[in-house]
Amino acid sequence: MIIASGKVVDFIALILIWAVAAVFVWIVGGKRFTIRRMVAIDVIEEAVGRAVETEKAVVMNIGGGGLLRGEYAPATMAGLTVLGYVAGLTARLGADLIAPMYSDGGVETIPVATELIRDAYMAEGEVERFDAEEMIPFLPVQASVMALADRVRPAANIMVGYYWHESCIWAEAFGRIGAIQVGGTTNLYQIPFFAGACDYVLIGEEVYPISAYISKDPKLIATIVGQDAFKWIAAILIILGTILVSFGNQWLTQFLSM
Amino acid sequence: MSTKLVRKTVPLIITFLVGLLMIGQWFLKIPSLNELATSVQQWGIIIAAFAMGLGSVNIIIRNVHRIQKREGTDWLYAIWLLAIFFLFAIVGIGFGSASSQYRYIFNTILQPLSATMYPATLFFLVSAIYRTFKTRTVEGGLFVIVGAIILVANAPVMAATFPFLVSVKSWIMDVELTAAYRAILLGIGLGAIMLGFRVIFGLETTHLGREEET
Repeated sequence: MIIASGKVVDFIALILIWAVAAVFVWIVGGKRFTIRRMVAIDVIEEAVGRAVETEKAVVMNIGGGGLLRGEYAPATMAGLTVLGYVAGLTARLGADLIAPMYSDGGVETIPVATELIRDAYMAEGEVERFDAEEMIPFLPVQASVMALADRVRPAANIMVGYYWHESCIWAEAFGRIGAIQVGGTTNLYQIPFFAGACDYVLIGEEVYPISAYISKDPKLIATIVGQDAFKWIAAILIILGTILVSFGNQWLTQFLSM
Repeated sequence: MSTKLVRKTVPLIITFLVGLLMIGQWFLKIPSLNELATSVQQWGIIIAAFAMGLGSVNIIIRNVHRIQKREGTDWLYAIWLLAIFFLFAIVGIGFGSASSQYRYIFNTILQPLSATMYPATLFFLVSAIYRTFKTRTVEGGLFVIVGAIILVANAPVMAATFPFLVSVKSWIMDVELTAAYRAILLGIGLGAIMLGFRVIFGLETTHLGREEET
């Protein structure tokens, strides 16, 4: 067989999920769907406003996952989306933006982030305020981000991306100086740290539909609906699998392992 | 070529092709596809190397500016940072990153400093726990109760005195926590699959910058 063994059902499931998403996007259309309110995203504009009032900076951090490693790249993509949004807000409202780039395998995000921020400032007609060296510092170690918190004392710290144990260190460092904090990651083990130390948190999958939420684009929202449909299917499979295994039937387990 | 073609259309086409290539390489047993995918992944490493160069230039420029401004005591740290930066660069390029000279400065400077950061997490954790335990919401209250049980059950003296706490902790960790983690993991997996769909089929373009043509 041309499909690698053990990945047959996975492959078919992927095709099915995408097919359902395509139906929702291009046939059903997304105009009839709405996406629930995400307070953690709504509060970002308020945080930038507070930064303007207090004449302090906004720090936006996309973590160290980078774009080259498959398991971390989606969260970094989501982080870049938020970065573009935050840069647009700081450009429009007049706050200073600092987007430290952390090096733990994520240096390739530097040029992408630089272009995103420049674009955002250009779109708001504020390109003369764009200063790559000051706005996008390359901070190769965790302690340098903590030092940034202490030195700059920003009004807001937004962290959306992929993080390891630096999630706790950074959230605490910025929390101590009283910055409003929004944290979001797909790393299961770091979510509790953000939940504990940040004012607002995006839990796991909430990180991904940010662009749909911000843009309100019906097509993007339609993909979230498709995703939710498969959550129900997954839930049904879990219940069915639990019942079958409880009665000693391994059929579903073996089928999904094909 | 129009700006839109260069900034939007070409990246979207490349994303579509590379996205399908990577999916094909993961699921299908086609040797030529695997070789091509490996090559593309190696290009990624080269791009990252260029970005590292960009980051290094950023470090030099920022710290030279800090030294020129001489504000507060920051500029003294900037001098120190640049000195160490060039020390590592010169030794690394001059003798090679596998040389005993480079290993010496790596093992005696960078390694201990990096290792120090990990235990430092403990103090931040304690501080985060303290702030969390002050929370006055229902969710915060539940967080405190569960956290307190786990903390107490992990202390050997408490576990020996109140053995039932170990059972409660195990139940929380094995049943409640695992169930919640798996639910979140399921959502993350489906979310990532759908993000892949949006990126590969050009629906998600925010990472490519502004929409309008310049």
